Amino acid sequence: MTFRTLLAAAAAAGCMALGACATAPTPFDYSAFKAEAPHSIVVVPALNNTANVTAPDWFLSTISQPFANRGYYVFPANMVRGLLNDNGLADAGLVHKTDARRLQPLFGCDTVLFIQINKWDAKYVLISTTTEVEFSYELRSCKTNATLWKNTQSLQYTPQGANSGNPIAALIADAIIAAIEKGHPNYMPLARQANLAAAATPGLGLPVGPYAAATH
Amino acid sequence: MKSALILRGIALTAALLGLSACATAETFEWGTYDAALYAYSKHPEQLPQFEKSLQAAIASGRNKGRVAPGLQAELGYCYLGEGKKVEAIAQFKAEMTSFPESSALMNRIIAQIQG
Repeated sequence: MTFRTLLAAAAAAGCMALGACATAPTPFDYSAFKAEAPHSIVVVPALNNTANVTAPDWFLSTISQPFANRGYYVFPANMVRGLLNDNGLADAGLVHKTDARRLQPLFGCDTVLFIQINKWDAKYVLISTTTEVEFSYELRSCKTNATLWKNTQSLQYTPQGANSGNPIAALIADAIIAAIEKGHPNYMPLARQANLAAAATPGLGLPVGPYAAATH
Repeated sequence: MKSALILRGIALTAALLGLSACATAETFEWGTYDAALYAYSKHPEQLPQFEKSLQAAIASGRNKGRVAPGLQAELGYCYLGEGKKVEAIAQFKAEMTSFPESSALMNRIIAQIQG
């Protein structure tokens, strides 16, 4: 197997894993969403329901891209965070209790996306580390504060050991990979994948917005 | 043993690459925005790197006619924090031209700077 085939196979596996998430059980009811046909989204700081204090800051960087690529104007994440701080809304708990209509004068936004981080941890068990994330998403109207869209994503990642045929060698390799994973858990790829699945899963994600490329 | 490890490392990296390849629908040019913002959130002293990442992504986006939403405003906001008012206003105006949805916010910020 050449390096190139290996890469392609791995990439295909990644895409298939992503595609697997795309099987929709019951399509979401988009009537409220379509009635408003919003163009823009303000993402407020995520509400952190986990013990990982740095999770919201890290999460912030992964959120704009998938929702904007779906075709919406997503307000600048770092600037929004700064402006909320300036307006006494630095605390995510406070922002999440805020009526979406209150944020309209501040940003001129059509909708507000409220995200809760429910899981964000790495479990180290024997010789493997499982990184696990769970997010819930709620998009509310800045005109009515009504919920236009909701979704939940739960993902986990465990590095897979290769079958070398030598159990001792495999055990040592697993331990090394687990230690690497524990030191640098793959939160960011997982968060990216969760956000992409939330935004773009057919029948459950956001309908394609005004800026979506013609091919999407 | 050693080669097996390397191979596994490659496979792991490739899987992650594959994941991000799927994740990057090429609607807009983002450059290294997410990684740079991630680093900047973790280490505020990395503001210059965040700025450079934004400048590069914006330049590349302009070439391709698909500057990503928010990037020009983010850069403007960095400039504003450094007291570079003229440069900040230019970026806020550019954001407004690219994305009229940002007009209310951009106009309000520009008025604050000038006021």
